Amino acid sequence: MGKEHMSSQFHAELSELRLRLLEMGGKVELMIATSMKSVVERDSDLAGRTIALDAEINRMEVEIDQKCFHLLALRQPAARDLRFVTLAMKIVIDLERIGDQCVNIAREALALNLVPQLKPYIDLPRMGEAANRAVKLALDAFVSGDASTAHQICRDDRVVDELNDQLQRELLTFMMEDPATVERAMSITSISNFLERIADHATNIAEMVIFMVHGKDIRHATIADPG
Amino acid sequence: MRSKVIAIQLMIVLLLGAVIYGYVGHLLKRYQTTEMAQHLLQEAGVARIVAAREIRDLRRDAPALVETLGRELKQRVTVIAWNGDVMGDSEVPAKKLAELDNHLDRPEIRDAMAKGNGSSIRYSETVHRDMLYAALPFKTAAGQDAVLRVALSLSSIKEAKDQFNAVLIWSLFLAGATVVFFSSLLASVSTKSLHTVAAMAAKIDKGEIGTRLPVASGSEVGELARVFNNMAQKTEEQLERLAAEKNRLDTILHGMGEGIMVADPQGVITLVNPAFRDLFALHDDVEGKQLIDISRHPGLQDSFRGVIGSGQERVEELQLHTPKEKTVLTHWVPLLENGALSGVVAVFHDISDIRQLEKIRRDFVANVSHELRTPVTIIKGYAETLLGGALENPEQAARFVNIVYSHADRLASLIGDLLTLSQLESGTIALESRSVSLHDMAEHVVALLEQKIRERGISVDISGLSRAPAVLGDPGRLEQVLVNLVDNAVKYTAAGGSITFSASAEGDRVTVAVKDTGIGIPARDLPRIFERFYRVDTARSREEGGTGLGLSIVKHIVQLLGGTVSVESSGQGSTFFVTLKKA
Repeated sequence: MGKEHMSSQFHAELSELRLRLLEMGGKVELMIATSMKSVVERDSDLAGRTIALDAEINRMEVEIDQKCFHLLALRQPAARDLRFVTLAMKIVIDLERIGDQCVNIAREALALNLVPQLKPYIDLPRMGEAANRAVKLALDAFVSGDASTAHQICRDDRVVDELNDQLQRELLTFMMEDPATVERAMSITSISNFLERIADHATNIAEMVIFMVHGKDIRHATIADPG
Repeated sequence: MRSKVIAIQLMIVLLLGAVIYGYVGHLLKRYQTTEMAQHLLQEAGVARIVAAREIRDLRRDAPALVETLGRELKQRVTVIAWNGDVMGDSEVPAKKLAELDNHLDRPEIRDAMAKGNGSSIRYSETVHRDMLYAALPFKTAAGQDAVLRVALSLSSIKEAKDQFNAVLIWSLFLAGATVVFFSSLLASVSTKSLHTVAAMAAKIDKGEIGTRLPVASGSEVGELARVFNNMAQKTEEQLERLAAEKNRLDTILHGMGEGIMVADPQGVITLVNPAFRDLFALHDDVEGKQLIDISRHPGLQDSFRGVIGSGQERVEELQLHTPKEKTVLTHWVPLLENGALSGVVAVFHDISDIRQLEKIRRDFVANVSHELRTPVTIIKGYAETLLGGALENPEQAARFVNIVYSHADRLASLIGDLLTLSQLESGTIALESRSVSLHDMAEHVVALLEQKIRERGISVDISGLSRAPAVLGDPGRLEQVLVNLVDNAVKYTAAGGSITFSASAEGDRVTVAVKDTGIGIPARDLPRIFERFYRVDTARSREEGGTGLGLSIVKHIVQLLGGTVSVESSGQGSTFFVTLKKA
């Protein structure tokens, strides 16, 4: 059991961890797309399938956590590898939360699809696209080790935040005009909030990627801060 | 190789030299000694004549005689009495004569006494040298028998021999050096050709496949060079054929519409073609990367693992969401080499358009049947009721027949629209080509729809068309277009909203814009709203009494007039743009 054998095994374990993390990311990206599709296309089957995917996400979170613990305890990695493993543990949490938000969106879709559509969904799909893009870019940055797209991710987050505010206001007027729309409007508001949270999780992941790549902790600072 | 040749040649020369040296040396030695012995005997012969005449008394005369003879002959001369006593020796003083041994036992003396002459070579105790002896018997003047012996030091022979040795060794050395020099020269020359061949071979090995050797015909090396060149030529041709084949395959892969991806069992991609890159919007290097790094789509990962695990082909439909919504038919084939899995080939076929068309067709058929059935059901129902007894009641009957009439009317307009659309699509409608004033047309259309507009409390502004240039088209059809657009605008705009007309000209085209402040059209529906029966919000549209064909008719008419129609929309309203030819 030479040192070389150990290090190649370690290397393989790191690769496996990375693979599982990215697979989980891919599944979560799919969930975002299908949950929004189930709302916009009023597809309850799709909503049901989205909810079913969450079990897999939860399972993967546990699996990846275990892998990380194993690596920390047995291999005691240092420097970049240590950053990688600890951040993998954190990113996994964000991904699992995003999965939960998607389930929430799908549940709202199930409810909305039982009643007539309140109004054409114009802003919701745009928010969905922005949130999806933010998550995709964050995961891409993780893959490539290139944190230069962090700015774009923050922009997408802002877009989602703004659209959220706008949509809330619009729905408020709907509800005030016609009380019969309240239930549906509340559902749409919820979906909007869930999307806003998904975008936040994406920025979390992006911040961690920046830390992993540059060793700089930019959490709780704005992108404008040079430090 | 070279040193071997030189060494062999040197060894041959040395061997030869040794043999010659040995033989000649031996010959020379023998010759010298025999000659010398002969010569010495002759000298002894002359000396004994002198001795026979001059010696009377041995003891008295011998010393003086030998001294003289010795001096003259420059050799050792000895006189020995018949009993063996030495009577005189040119090398020994007279006083010492008595100390000498008896020479009777000396072989040459014995032979001389017995045979008449004797010679021998031996080491002399007396003078401590190798000597050659020649002895002859004689009778003194007094008649006494005695032996005369002449001796020659072999040191001269030895000297000559030594000199000969030296000459031979030096010449051997010289010969050897010459041999080494010339054979190494010769060896260089022949190995040089071999070196050239080796150097050329090395060049080709490095990749300069075009190198050739100059052929010096006749020599063996020339033959080698010829064979070598042939081989290189064949190899070059083979490589060219392979390169051409590879180019052909590359071109095919490059030009294919289907995406191709080849990966190894570990998931590392080894080959992709441009169609694959387009499908997954990949701009950087793909080959050498892991599949998961290229696409995180769970379906793709699962399929890949499935093929690797089962070793079986599989066909799957994959739904991509990024970069665009696409349906891709994927065909996975495992690659087997000697029975072991060496990788996977995947072919991706974009069937989004096919699926889309299928969906449109399905939707259309569903829509038409629904649209036609609804009024027919109502008509049937009321007819049944009338036949069932309602005819008796004139008031009811009148009401019911009115309902039947209005639905029959609706059916008629639906079927009329369908027919119009069909005719427009098949191009069997004759269109006039006249100059039409947009402002006047708009005015006319607004008047037509006045009631609806008023009921909704919507304001219409056509002032933007006051300066619009005239367009070329069929007035009746153009009216149809504007009616449809305005009707839609009214339908989907809430009370208090507005419809605004405007126009812009560019080159030989004029674009009319109909803008409303309605509820807008979602982005994903925008590309499809011109489809037959496509409705964004089905419930609402039907309620408003639309046929779902309006925009489709608009699109076809505009296209037949050589123009284009497009739409922009947001949550604050929609704007339809119709571009027509200037009159």
